[in-house]
Amino acid sequence: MKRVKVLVVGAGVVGLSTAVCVAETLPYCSVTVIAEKFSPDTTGDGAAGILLPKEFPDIPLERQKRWFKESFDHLLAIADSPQASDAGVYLSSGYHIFKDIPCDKKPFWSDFVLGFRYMTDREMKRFPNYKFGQAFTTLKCECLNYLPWLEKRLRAVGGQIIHEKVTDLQKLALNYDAIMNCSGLSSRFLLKDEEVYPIRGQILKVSAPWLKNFIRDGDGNTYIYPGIRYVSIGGTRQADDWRLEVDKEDSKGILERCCRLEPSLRAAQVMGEWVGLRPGRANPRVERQYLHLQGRQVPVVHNYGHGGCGVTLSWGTALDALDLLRQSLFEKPPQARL
Amino acid sequence: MRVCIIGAGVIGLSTAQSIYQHFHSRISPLTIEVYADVFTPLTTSDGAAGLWQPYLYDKGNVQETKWNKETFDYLLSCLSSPDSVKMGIFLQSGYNLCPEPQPDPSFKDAVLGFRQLTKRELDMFPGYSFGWFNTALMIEGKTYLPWLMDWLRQRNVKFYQRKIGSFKELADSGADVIINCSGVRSGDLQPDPELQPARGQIIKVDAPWLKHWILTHDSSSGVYNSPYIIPGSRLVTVGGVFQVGNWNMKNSSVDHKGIWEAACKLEPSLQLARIVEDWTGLRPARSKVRLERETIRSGPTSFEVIHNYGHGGFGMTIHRGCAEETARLFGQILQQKRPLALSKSRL
Repeated sequence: MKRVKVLVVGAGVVGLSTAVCVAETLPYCSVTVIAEKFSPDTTGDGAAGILLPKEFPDIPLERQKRWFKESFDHLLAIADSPQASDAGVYLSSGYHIFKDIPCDKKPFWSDFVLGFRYMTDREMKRFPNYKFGQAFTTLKCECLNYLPWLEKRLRAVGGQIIHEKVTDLQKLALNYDAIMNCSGLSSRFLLKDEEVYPIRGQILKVSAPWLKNFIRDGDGNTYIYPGIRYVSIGGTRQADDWRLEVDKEDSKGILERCCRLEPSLRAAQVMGEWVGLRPGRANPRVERQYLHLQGRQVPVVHNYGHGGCGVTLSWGTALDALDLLRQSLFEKPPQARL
Repeated sequence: MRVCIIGAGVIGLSTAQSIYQHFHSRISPLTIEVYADVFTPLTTSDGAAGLWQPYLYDKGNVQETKWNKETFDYLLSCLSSPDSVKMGIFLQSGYNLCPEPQPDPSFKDAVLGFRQLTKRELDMFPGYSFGWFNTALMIEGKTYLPWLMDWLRQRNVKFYQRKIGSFKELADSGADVIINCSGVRSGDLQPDPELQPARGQIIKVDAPWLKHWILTHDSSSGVYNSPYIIPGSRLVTVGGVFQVGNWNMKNSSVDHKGIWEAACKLEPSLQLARIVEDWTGLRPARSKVRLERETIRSGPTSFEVIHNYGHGGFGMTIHRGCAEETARLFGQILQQKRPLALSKSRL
């Protein structure tokens, strides 16, 4: 079969996962990743990387389950291997606590994490303002390690990298047989997808190596995630906020809320602050389109809009995107309408 | 009243603390002195990984189970204090793995969130088909002991770096009560055939991605002779061996190899971890903890000794319960010596 040239736009966790999936699975594909930002400057690099999904309103539940399960299982195998420290993937246990009892006490993903159960009364005693909690073991996948590790994997199967900002998909499509669009928040400009919007998140990096378990408030605004180099504490969820600068008021609020949950944090030293813009969208867009140019139909597989679930769903959506690519390479593209 | 404590490991220091807490307002003057040949960071306690966990089964030693639980509850209450980091106390969850089904362990109600391991979890540990998950406490000797010494110094407890040759030596110098917390070398003060060293060697490793302790249990090889991996606040402690009767304080390269290979099989990610150093310590192993009074005759007089030694591999785990019990025995001695003095005291 003739060599198929695939271009992946975006080198964040979704882009590199997608590129690796394609390059490792379809030997007849040459994969090139093109992006302006690479690790350590992608959105995922500042994310704590805890695998914890949320339920999207319009995607069939079975598909969402598959996205999460495949991501979890893929990363669990890495965590259980000698590669774990290189890839920055490891087990993380902790508590998910709620001030009010949630309607969904047992979310769809409870079967896919490890050891999911409700917290005992004794465990809840530590959190007097909270009425309910879930305890489980999930994975933490730190992009600062994982992205370079994925890049190595990509290069090992002949993948190429281009450091360049993409402004015109049509122009690029002239030189490739298929495009995987994993441009995250930038899809707003690249595709004029107004449904994509930033959800600003700020975190503090603190030195508190005695903390081993995560604590997350069910409202998503307060969390403590112990990592390899530091503990990430946060956070904020500011929709349509494009500011990349650190907000000192946000830092103050984060410290206050997290110290209330974990008093020993008062002894922790703040090492730094970071801001990232989650690629928000009502639902992630994992679907295929065709670009019609000069008599060719170029399949464009979209894989963007994961919000705060990029790391969490990266492998599962990459596999989905791979499937869409495979389908498009073997079926006849729709006739161009005149 | 002059109390002389022999030993400055976790047992000696916590005993000094309990005695001070219970009696400093009831006896005046109360002089507490600690005598030891080694202090932190050179004691046995300093090398301990610091995981609160008793042996799986107490073999009928319900007293010890009670003291263990008392210690856990005490440490849990310290967790919310502003001193918790300075004390070296923090929570950590982990896995106890067995090659085949076992009855529930003695500590299942003391720890937090105790449950059986699911099949998917066991799949991560080939060779182990059964086990438990729970959240326990860590108490790092290297941090806890200096904190205890500071606490005691602030309250005028005096420390003397000196190897005590005999109980009589201290009695002759005027000690009213002697408390023997001399751990593995208690035999030097009074022969005890039940007390033996149980040599342990550990490897300290830099592996900050590990956030759970993993203990394996193999009834054929015996407690702690099976691999264990216990992340601390800075380094990870990898073990272990439990060699009864071995007094050798030197690190053994044969043990190192055995420990390392077994641990890497258990946790493959360790293979890329940086090894920092080895350490050897002698656990003061005994069939059960010796926690009792003894009146020793010395010519026409006699003096009181309270023994508090033989805590094996669970000194950190049981220390507070034993310290409080020692304080209770001390109270008994006081009652006998000065019943009038005590009845006048404020409570």
